[in-house]
Amino acid sequence: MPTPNDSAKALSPEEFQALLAAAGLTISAEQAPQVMAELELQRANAEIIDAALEHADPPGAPAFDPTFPKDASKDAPK
Amino acid sequence: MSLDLSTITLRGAIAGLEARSFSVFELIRETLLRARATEPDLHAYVEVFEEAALQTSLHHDRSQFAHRPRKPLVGLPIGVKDIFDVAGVPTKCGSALFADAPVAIRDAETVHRMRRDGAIFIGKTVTQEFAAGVVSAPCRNPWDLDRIPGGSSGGSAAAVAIGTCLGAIGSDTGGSIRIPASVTGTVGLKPTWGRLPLTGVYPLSPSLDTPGPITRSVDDAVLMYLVIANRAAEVAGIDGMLAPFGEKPLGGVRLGLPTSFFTENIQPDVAAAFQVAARELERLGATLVEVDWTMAPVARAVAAVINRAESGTVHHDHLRSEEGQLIEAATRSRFESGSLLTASTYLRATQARNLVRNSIAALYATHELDAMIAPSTGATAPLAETLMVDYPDGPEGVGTALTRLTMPWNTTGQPVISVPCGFDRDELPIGLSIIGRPDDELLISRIARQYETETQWFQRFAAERDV
Repeated sequence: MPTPNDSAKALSPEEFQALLAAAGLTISAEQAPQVMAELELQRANAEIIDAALEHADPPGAPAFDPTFPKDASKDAPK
Repeated sequence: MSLDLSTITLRGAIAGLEARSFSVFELIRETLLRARATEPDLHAYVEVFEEAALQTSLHHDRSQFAHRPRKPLVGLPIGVKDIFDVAGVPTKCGSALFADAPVAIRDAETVHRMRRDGAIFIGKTVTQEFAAGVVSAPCRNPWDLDRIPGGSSGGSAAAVAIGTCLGAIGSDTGGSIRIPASVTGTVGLKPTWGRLPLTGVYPLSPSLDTPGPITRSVDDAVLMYLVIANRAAEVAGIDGMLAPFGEKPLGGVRLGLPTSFFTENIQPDVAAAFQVAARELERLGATLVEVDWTMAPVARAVAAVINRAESGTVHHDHLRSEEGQLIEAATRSRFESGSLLTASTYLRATQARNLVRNSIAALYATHELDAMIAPSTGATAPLAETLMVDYPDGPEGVGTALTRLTMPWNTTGQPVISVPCGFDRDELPIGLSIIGRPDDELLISRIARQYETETQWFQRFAAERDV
């Protein structure tokens, strides 16, 4: 199934420049590759996140408990 | 108690002031003289408040014994990272963009609380531009001036290590307290996210930013933490809070020992020091439990995406203005990439953050852990000239290399204390992280205190080397 991050993979340098302009960013030609490399790193991170979410609990799973209860079984429904 | 700034701690200075072995004026004067001597090479400070600090010291000498109980930080020299507001001083955030920033109207809340409890601010310490990175130029590492002090709170850690303040405030978004603490041989405490105030602190990534202390001992970190947390009344009980757990100093304590991620792609000397530290903790009575937190790489990815997206938003207007060109190219690229991430990418990262937090909570619950341990950083201080880290598998840029092991704990928001645990073959310090459950700052500090008491690493100071 496609994920929201898949669309970024198809970006060409020209499309990237157009995206920057649309976002109102003034980036020099020399700087563009550095931004693109940074974006590439974050796209890789987004793929890790997508993979993790694929295996996530379904909606309705228990919310995060900030107290880190010591014995989770005590909190489980009987 | 003699006034030797190469080794004295905050609590040591308190003892000296109480015993009238030296005055506040003498303590501050010696600190400022030391800054004059070391700053030309170290560059830990953006600005030193010589006149204000000396004037305040005279005031405290007149009044320090008037308050009982004594204010916990009275007369102590403290540094503050230059993203925290200090009234009457511009907050420049290490950026040319803010070179002409107006003076701050009031202190950041953290600064206010410390000043209210008697701290004397020695100056603003160097930060990586907008706290976004690990180099902290032009500051250097007191253990080897050819090397970086880590970052982004590099100036704070370097100043503490060299003794031009005895404690400093830093901030940690991806490791910016723990990394510099680790590579300068100091103690860094990243409290639980959201527990200490961020008012008056220039943001990097608001849902990750965490202020905290960098000091020369665990006691000192707890002292500063309690003051900043508005818990100064508890300072008198620090020794009790940090007492041994039983007949054996760490008797009954269960520590998670990671078997993956935190043991991969790290320098051999760091790996060896970590293993020795783990065995030492075991000898002190702790039970080591091998754990495999498989979500650690996800935790790192989540921290990176959230960090970039939020910082891109913080700097939205700067990136779209002509003045924004004054931001250094590397920092700007980082913010620009963040501002280009889609809303769904950011929101999916926040979704995954809950997943990561549930997974670490389950790990602690399943193994009944009191805390986990890990190397603070996979490498010791890199050379400023190359900004590369050499691993057996090949070189890696400092940004990735130094943050790999710290960022997961920003995603979970857990408290972490980094303490010295050895030296590499170049005599550069190595750090050990103790990671607690949310709100367990005092428990991890108590564990760290036992380790500190029983090992030699805390008795070696960069400042003793060559000043």
